[in-house]
Amino acid sequence: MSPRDHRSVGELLAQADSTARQLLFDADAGNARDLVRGWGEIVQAAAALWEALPAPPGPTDPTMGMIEATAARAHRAHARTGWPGPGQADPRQTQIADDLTRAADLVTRLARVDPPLRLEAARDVTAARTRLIHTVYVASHAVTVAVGAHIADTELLRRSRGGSLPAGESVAQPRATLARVTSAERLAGTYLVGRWPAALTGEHREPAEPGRLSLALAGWNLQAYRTLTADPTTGTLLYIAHVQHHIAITSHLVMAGAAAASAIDPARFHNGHQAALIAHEASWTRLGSLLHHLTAPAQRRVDTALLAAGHELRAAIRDLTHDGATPRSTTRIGHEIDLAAASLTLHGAAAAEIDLVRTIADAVANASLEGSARAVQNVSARTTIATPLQAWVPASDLHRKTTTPINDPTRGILTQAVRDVAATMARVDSEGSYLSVNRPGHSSPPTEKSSTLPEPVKRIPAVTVPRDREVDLPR
Amino acid sequence: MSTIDNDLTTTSSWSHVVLLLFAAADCGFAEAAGDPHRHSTAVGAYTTACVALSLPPKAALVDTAEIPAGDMATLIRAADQAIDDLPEAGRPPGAGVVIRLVQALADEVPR
Repeated sequence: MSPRDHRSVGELLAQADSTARQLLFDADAGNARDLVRGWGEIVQAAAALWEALPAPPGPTDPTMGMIEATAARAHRAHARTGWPGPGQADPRQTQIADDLTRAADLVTRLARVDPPLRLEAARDVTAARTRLIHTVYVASHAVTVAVGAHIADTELLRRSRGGSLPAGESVAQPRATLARVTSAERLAGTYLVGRWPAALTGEHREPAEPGRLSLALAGWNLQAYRTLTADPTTGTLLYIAHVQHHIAITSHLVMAGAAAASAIDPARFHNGHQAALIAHEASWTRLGSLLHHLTAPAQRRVDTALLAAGHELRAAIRDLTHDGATPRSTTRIGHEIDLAAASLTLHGAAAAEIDLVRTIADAVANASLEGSARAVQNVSARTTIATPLQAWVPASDLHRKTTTPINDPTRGILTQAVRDVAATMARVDSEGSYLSVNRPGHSSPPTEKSSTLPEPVKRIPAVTVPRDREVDLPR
Repeated sequence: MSTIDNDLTTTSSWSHVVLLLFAAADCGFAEAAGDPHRHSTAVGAYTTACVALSLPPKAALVDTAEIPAGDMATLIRAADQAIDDLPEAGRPPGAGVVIRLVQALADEVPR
């Protein structure tokens, strides 16, 4: 039995929108058929939610009805022509449709609003409609990108075969689908002109989408745990170290801005907390640098799901720290985001690192972990001063520039670097505990005082998302 | 020709794009010591390099061209140019994602 879903309509919509953005990350010819299969399901669920939301005053906007009709025509054409054929939809699309359906169900069961709506409620409904259309817009764009790439690949295949295609392949049907989904995307895009993101200012939530950051952090943490458990390679460890370092740098930037604006206690920040943040950044730098030497470019392959989670997290962080391509100044950042809330979210992420660092320690201890032969030799030679000329790695591995199992001296250095991360993280957690004081609705995250690595645990890490924001993350 | 992996079959041109992006990320991580905001673009370049590396054929990474000296911005623009210079047939299936990501990165760095 799945755990009870405590999310609000706004949170379900934010999650659906975030998942739709993830579709863009790997929309391509390879998953075009899956994305086409799942598109209608999203539109159908979106139309149901649109219908369930309280109607605004004035004439009904026809946008969603037109998109739904387009999707219905596409569905009939798919049934008639056999393209894209039977199979699964992309699981993230199913997740989006489930979230929208759940939101519609909540609105239908719980909304007891007789028109006219109060101004705040009317703005919230407008924001919900805008976000809903944006979700459809982004999900449709992912389909058009993927189908466009599929058509290009199929054309290439046809040319290479002298004008013929294998049985079951077609260019005409994907083109017809592309035209329909593009039409729906344009309808959604037209609706959003002048509304996105302006209409979201009436949304019943804090500004600058803090929800996106906490969801992205939670998604990243969970995916990092999953990938590291399934694929404990130096490539995976290196990618995680880079992204964790990014979180550490962002925490320092945002909290420095918060202290400057007195959104958090400047005295507590400058008296201990900032130094802890700097030390934590440095510990990730050291671990990342070591892993960088041990991982040749060819060994830097990373699970696509982890890349997608890292990509979304970077985008969520840039929402806070950048305005387009331009970094926000410390002064401006205080005017444009809720620095206290962002600081607390990032502080919570540091607390959630505890389980991730345990898993990193497990991966480092894994006997099958391999590194670049040359780097293993160099690290081993540097750390065993008594016998610097000892051959730690077979000469053939060095010659072929291949990988070799991580040996004890190298593992020792790695383990120490992970311990440093754990120790500095515990200090950040402790020094930053004042952030959660006097914040209604936020409980203090559990603190880890020990500077040594706790015993490894074999469980899903506790992601520090408030109970009312528990999410069933896409897998 | 510098050989980075012995199981080599893919086009060296795509490998050049991958290595340019890894080099851009390395520069960006170093530059972030002076300007922490650059770390974001460096992580983006690293992620994009990993995506490019994941495209088939997966067992290969070869580069026939020198990686030019330069800062992160120069190397990202070099990767963008290297993709532009590739003929359609020289791009692996799925290259569209990388092209969009590199274009977005190029928009992030000053000209």
